[in-house]
Amino acid sequence: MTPYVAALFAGIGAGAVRALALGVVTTFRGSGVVNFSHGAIATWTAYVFWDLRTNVSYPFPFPGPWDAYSFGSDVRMTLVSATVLSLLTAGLLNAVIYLLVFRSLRSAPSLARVVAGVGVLLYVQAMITVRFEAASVRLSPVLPHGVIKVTNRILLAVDAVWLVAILAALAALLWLLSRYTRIGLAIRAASESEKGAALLGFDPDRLGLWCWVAAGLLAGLVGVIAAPMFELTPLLFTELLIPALGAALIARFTSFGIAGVAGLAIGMAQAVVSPLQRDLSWIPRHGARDGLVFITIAIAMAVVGKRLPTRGSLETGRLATVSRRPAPRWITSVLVAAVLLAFATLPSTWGSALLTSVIFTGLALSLVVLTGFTGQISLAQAAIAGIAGFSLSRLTMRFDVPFPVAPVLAALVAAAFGVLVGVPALRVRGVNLAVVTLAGGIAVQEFVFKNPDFVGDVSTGGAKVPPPKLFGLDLGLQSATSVYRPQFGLFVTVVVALLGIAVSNLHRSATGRRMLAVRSNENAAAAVGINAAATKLLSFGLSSFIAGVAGTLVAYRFGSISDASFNLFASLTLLAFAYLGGITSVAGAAIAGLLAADGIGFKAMSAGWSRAGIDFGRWELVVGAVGLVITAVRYPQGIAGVGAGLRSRLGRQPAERGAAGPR
Amino acid sequence: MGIGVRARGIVATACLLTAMGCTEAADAPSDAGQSTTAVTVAPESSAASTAASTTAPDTGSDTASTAAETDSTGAVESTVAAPTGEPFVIGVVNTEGAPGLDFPEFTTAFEAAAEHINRDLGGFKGRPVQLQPCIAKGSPESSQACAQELAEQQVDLVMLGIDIFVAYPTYAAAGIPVIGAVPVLPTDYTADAVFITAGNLVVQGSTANAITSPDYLGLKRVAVITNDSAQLASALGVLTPALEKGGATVTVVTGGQTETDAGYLSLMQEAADSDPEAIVSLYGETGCVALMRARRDLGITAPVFSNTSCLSKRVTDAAGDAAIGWYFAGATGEDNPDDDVVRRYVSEITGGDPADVDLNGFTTVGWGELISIWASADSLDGEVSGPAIIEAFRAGRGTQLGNGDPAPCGQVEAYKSVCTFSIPFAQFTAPGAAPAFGGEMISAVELLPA
Repeated sequence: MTPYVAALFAGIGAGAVRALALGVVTTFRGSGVVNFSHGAIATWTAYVFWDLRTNVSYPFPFPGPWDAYSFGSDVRMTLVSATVLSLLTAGLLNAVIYLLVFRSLRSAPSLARVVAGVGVLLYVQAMITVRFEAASVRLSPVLPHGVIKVTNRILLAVDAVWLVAILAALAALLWLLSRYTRIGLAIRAASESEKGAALLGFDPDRLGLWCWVAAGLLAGLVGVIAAPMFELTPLLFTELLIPALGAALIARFTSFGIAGVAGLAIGMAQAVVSPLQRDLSWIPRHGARDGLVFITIAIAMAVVGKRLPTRGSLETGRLATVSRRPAPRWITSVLVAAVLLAFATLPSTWGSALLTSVIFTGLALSLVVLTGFTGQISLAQAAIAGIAGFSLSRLTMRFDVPFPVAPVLAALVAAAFGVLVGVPALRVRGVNLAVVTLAGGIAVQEFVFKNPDFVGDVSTGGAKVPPPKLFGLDLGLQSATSVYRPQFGLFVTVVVALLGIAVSNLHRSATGRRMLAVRSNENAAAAVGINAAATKLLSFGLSSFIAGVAGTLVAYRFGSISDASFNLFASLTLLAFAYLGGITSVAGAAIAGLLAADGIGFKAMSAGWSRAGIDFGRWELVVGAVGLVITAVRYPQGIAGVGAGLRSRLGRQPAERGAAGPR
Repeated sequence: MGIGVRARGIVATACLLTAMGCTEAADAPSDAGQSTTAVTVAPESSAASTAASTTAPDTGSDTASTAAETDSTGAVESTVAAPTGEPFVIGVVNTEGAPGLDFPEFTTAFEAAAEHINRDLGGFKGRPVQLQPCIAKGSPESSQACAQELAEQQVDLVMLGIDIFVAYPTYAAAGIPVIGAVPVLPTDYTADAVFITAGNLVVQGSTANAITSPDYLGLKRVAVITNDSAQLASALGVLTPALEKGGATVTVVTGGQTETDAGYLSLMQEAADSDPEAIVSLYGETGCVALMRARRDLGITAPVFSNTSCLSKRVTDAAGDAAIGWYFAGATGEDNPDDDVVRRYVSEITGGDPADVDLNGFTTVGWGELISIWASADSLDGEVSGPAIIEAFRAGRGTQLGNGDPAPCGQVEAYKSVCTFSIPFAQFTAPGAAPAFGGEMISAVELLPA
């Protein structure tokens, strides 16, 4: 028993840091935004603190000719000064983020806020990379440190105890503020009904701003006092945010106390996994530490999900309308023919970029079905695509299953996983569903992608995939003598075009109409005899099948597959670009492919900048993130949605009735 | 003595593998530190001559030994003719600018080494070397785009810094040989390429040998502290069987990818519970200080084996005497006389002070990689070309990393890209790092899976 108690005690510090969840809850209560950049803000603040203390300089969080302001060598930066400056930085950053980005998205679909959040996350991480490169630093302790010997075997870190005490006090303070102060009550009221709060004379904008500032201060505080307990790395608090999101979810994004306790419990539970693995042979050797936690969260949410709150806002953000009529066939045919021609004629570097775009279009199509048609959000799509990629490797290398049976089987495996990840959707919706699927995606990553039996290892040369061959015809991208064979581009285009046609037909089918009905109003759909649960699961299955097919294309393209292609960031960026393109239509998916990183649009833009003599160099990701945020703010309905609106205004196509989207 | 490529040379992989986002010490030490790693290229030639020290003695070329003279400040007086004619173009792929995946040190080192080669060593057989860089962004798409770009430019050779998703089929189809610094993914070990450093495979095999073989420590109860990442799962997949093949019983303690100091203390304590005779830590640099302190605070006397990322000056400065008793796979524990040359050229590129050049990071790995390619090229009898250079490596005419012996590329068929199967170890003692096991290179071959 002692090893377990010792592990539990050791997990206190890590658990306390999951109190990042307090900031997540604060932001959500104030603005309905699940702030994915909360951890990055904590990391930035910790680096600011380090820079102030070590170099007596202040790094600027925006691009420009100056990296940092140096206070001069004769200035001594005290602990208090550095802490205050760092916290002010965090509060100010969050205020700016709210005012520039999220305030204008208050009435936008929740998906738009997720997308903008991804953009902000990428921006802050990119700035950390630019300013500090991959610096790993060790900060001097801020809290009292040392070890208390409870017994010879059970040790307790002093700083962990302090951290718990401070965060418990903060949680209590937040609770008191929210319960007994006028502004706190107003924020609570606004989180339930912004309209009601506004009628009572409160400005939801201002309330949101205060919450973002408070959340920034919380992030900054965690960054400054907890970073010395770790090695500070660029992704430290972003990685720690993921379990914190789980804690916030358990707290239903409303309770500070539960969020704090849940975070602590998660950290302590993770610490116990190692001795459990030693004593219980049935616990998986790989991925159990995070996987068990997230699978528990996903299951728990599937059980208690209906009690999760949704936010009442002044306006109902809706997804872009779904056009009743697909694009004319001649347009589709011309576009597909143009792509085929491009593959046959473009040089390899451009062809490669076009491949990225076409495959990304396939991935985005999966979200058209799931999100565009059915109104469900998933942050596990990349993981699902990865399942198919690894399955393809397994089927072809180990069982010699031929093409095209192997990719179809692999996509079916992905579909099965997709249905599993989608089960919580029967009880949770909107952003909550996004976080639950994120948990499901991480569980897949942990249990599947870390399992050498499935993904291969050094002895198998990783997860290799042979080129597709049909009746002796080699469809692979490369041959022994050619770095680029247009045949592969043609093959990919045909597959994705077939997927597009299937999605388009699905939209017009009875199944598609059931999906749209569920998206519009689940209760109304049920009232007319539609089985909403079955429709949702079918949607998850179909979309995962499509993602799986795209995953196999990725595997065929590179000849091998790695889990790094299908991580959480991949899922986030997939959703972000799919949404920006236009998540309700096949055309939107194609636009998403155009916008995708390393895609044809991306390359054209880079070439354009290059011709103009502009080389973004290390700023490329910063510029891309800013572009993503601006597009999300400017076009919260997605680019294809803008096009549909224009067509509608021009009278070429009657305005469609919008179906209520996930909120 | 030779060109010293220290610290995270071999075990850059392990560092990468820890979080798929290797981290660099921010407080770049101005001191060279005490150790060199197995990435060392050169043999036992004159300490005063950089060129000589980068050339294998048995390659038949003594051109370089008279190529340049280095004074005590690192200033080089070139005595060879400046290279002329058609440049020898080397495509360079390195990952930069992605969060957690940013290795600009490689690019700097490559540029510095190229300058050194052109200015002091007479280029590649009289041809100036020209680098054609391409930045990968940590995605398969960007790696493939780089490969296709370099194929279109028909470069003579491709040299990798850190490229996670090397597009081997593209290079193979274009007939462009690939020489990498560090194998990262399992596919790298069996690729049609040459890797200058050993990667986790050899580090783990050699570590197992050092621990279990009666020729070295001969210990049979081992605890392994690792984290729950896919990459370290792969490393563990090599280490555990290797230890067991050596007759050891193994206890695995798994922590998180991000741990607090208290978490590391608990992991060390849990490891100690199995009463090990030796402990292996697979954590990269981020866990080193805390684990060193934990071992000291818990009074554990069993030796701990880790990679060279735990030997960076930043770590040893922070850990102090807590580092005593640790072994570092891949480090020689000796100073290197060529550091001044590296500092000089790198600082010319960065515009900084030579004393501020961090010799514990990837800079020296990149420098050593290009210098070793040059050494192989210089050993050629005929015209220099990419295929000829890689053939020289494969024919054993490349220099083995660490001692300058012929590099046994492909010695083990299952890992045909690997050119280093023996590495040195350093041990931290009260005065600092020192050669362990008499400075002997310890082989991994015996304990690697066939």
